[in-house]
Amino acid sequence: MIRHSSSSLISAAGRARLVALALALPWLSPSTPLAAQSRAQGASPPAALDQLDAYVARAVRDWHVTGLAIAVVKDDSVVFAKGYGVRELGKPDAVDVHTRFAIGSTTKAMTAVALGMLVDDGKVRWDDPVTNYLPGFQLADPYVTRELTVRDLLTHRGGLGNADLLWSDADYSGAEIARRIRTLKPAYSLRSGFIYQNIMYAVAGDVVEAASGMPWEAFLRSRIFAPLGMTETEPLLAAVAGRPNVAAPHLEIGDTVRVITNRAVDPVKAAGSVWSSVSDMAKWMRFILDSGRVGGKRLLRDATFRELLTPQTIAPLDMYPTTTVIRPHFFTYGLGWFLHDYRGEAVAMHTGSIDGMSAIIGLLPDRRLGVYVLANLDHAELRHALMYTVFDLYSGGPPRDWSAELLKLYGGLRAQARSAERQQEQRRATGTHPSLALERYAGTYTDPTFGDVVVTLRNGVLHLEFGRGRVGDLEQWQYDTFRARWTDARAQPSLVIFQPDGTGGVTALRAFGVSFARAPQAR
Amino acid sequence: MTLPLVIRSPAAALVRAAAVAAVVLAAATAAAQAPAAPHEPYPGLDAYVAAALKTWKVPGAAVAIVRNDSLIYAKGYGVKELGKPDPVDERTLFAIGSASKAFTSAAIAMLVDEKKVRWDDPAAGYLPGFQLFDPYATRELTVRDILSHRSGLARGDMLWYGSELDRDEILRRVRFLQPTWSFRSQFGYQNLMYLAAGQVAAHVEQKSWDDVIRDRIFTPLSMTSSSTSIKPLSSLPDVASPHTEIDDTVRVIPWRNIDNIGPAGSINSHVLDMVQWVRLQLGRGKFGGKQLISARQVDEMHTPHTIVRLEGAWKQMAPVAHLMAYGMGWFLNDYSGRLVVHHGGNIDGMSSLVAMLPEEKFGVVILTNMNGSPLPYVLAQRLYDLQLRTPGTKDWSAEYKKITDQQVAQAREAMKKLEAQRVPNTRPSLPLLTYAGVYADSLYGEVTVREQSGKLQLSRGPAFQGELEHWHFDTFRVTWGARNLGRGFVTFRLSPTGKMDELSMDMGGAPTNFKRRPEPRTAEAATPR
Repeated sequence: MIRHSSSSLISAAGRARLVALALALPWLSPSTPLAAQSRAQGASPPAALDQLDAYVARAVRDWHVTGLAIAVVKDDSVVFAKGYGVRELGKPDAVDVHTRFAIGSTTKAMTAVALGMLVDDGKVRWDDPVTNYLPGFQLADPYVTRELTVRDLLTHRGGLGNADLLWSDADYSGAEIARRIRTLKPAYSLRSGFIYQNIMYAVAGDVVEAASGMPWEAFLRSRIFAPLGMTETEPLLAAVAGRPNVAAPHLEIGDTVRVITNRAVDPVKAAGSVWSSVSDMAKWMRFILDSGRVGGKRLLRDATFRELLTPQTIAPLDMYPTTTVIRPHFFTYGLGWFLHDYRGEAVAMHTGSIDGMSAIIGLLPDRRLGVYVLANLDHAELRHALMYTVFDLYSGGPPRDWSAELLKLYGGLRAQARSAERQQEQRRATGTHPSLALERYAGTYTDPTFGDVVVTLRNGVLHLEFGRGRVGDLEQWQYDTFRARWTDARAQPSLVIFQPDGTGGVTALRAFGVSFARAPQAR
Repeated sequence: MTLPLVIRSPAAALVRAAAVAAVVLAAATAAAQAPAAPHEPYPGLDAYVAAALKTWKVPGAAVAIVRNDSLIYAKGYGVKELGKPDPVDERTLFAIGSASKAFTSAAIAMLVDEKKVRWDDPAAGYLPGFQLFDPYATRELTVRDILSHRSGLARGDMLWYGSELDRDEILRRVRFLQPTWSFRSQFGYQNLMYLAAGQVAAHVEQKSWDDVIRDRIFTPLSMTSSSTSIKPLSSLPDVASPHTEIDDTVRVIPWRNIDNIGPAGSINSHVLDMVQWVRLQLGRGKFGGKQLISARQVDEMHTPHTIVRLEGAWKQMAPVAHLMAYGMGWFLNDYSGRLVVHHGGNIDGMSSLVAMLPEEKFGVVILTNMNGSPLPYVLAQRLYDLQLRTPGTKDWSAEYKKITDQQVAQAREAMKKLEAQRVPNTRPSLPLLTYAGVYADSLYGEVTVREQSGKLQLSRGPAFQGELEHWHFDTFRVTWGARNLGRGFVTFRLSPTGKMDELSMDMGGAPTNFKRRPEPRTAEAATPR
């Protein structure tokens, strides 16, 4: 049956249920490569999970993932859980089911549950304007400010463009970010599109705080983690720093996987700051798969729970490269969940991606099946492969080596990106010079939303500073375009374009997709 | 029961006792031979349809099935009109109701192909003077929005149903319809916005919507029997009569002229013509080797734009779906892992459905002459199962019967509750004569109350004429002369000075206050000399 390695987390109850499962689901058509093997051996379908171990181990090697942990929940039991690889490259400590990782945006479903609890408490209504709870909340358009609801905050349809630069590199508090978004013109007409939002989830966290009168992290601890027994879970990075059994983030930089520093996402905490283990996230999955109950006790009313997994808005089909492969008929967003159809069944899923950390949660709610993967490598996309592999094991998909298939898919995308980079290099005009003397580019450039970029000339080299995240030297690329090499190893070199005003000055600087205007010079 | 689709009589939604009668129709057995396939493509299909007609008390129906760009079956069942022997055949004309909407969206798609219209341009840009209640919505509402039911407006169907307003005047008055939901916040089924879409096509093409549909769709598809108005029907021989159930008995009712909302649902057709339309859709815009609509724009219409929550009436269209959405002119949901693209139509005495499984190159057209019948959905799902060889196929008739029986019970319960809430021994506040007068609303226009030999009579346009019966206090119950319109309630209100001031009436789900005109006009004053 299940291999009982020291790092796999399987309760006695889970083992007992597995036996029952084998009897109850003889019709599971075992036709994935794994399942085919188990059938050849005459084994019952759950035994395929035994093969899962080898499959994951191989996939972890194939994808060069430093460390990974996975848990599978079926019918309120953990049927598989195990860690692979190491917590930090170059150190021997193995990942186990209790190793903590950043769960990234899989936090969003927790924020949605928190709001659901407040709906049940009569303190929040999904369709009330955000301004009912946060009187100072404001967006650029007065109609949108008036109409934007709590539901809109959770469904990426408010019209706000991606402004993650505000927290990823600029150095603003959550409150300051919430204030600054009013300066952003809508990227699309209200509720006519979908642009994935961390900042709107941060505002949703503010609603939790305003309605409950306690910090978001305290609300999660007392109302979700405590009743679920998620003792290894922490809402914020600071609480896990320096604690035992915590994974280190890794990023591939120039073909080499390196340890990087953790990105603090506190300014948008409700969008993705939770740290947890697959052991704890299995408890979370059991809670969701039991329709908001834990140990038979409801933490959410049935109607409120169902709202979370009800499609609310259409999401773009190219949200994930994998959706172009599985080609769902419907790809939608609920409250903290992507919801789509897969082989005639409903899927609820979400990824989490923070610098150096990857997560995925995938549920087939009708089968009460869930899989959760955590890895300590940036964008470890084998997470998708493992999710669909587990889905197929239970739903009887045709033989499909998801790991190999997606390795090829993402390898192709990577090759495309590299080729684009090479093309950019090739298009570089050689033998050009900046149109002005270097000191002319020095100065402060400012944007009402994103703040100041400060350019200085140091020992004949231009130096740029923006927020806490972007500091680096500029080398001339072509004409008045410079390439910045950042001191932060996590950041890719990027281009900075100066716009001379034709009279010896510079009017603006374009970087990070934002145009910063030259601030008037002090006399 | 009435399925939510789609053009339906709003007045019929007013509380009325639902019927559970035991009248079983004598099933007419005669049916014309389908030209394409003389034998049923699935064993037992004819028997199933015949039985379902009985179960659902549907006088007549026609069914056509398309597979791989070919008509594989077309057949009529039952009779055109109850009490007469004429059988329905595959050339019998029915109203397709809201299945017309996809014609309007297809016409727009052709204009998109020709770069005359853009989906995401403001609708008001194509409709000079078009205005919604909210200025933001007026500015932001796009062609895509009006075709995907997300304007924030609830139906407002009483603006056109049984009214004498023309298309332009209806569209002008939309500005007085207050939004029920925040702009684009949810699906809200809308006939008025489809009228707007039709007028977009008309303005861009400088001809009527009717001509646009004829020239761009009917003619190239050789849908020579199809029309956009009931006007030509009276001179044609093979036309079904509309039926509805009144007091437990299925009766013939008159055809309703809905020209004033044409682009949302006024097409009449037969299953052989509709097969051509289905082939165009399944061919991704290609018909007989000719690309009439680009594949890209057909896909755009078959792509989810607005989420439809699988609740209440909408869930009845697809009881086993996991996800449902509206494209443009089409509902979309999953069925056994396949996409279903479909749209039904309900207008007085007629229920229809066009449904396709594009991945299977499979489509069906089901037309019936019975009001608000689930039969088309029952048959369509049966046909999906037959096509997909679904293991453990359900008896969809039985499944829907469970739902409708429950609805009938609920409606009876609601009726009982209403009766129980009637306060006995009350009297109107003032003498009946003082209730007479003209009451007006900027959106819905005028309602006239007359006193006639001790009884109050209410009229709103030619369709809604009824007698008021005192209910309690200043509330009266109105029973419409046209019995299929059901019943409703009217409440009068006095001004602080004790004068009759306001009449409140439910207008298809929206309580509306009609303000009394200051002075009832005399006959002389009203007649211009």
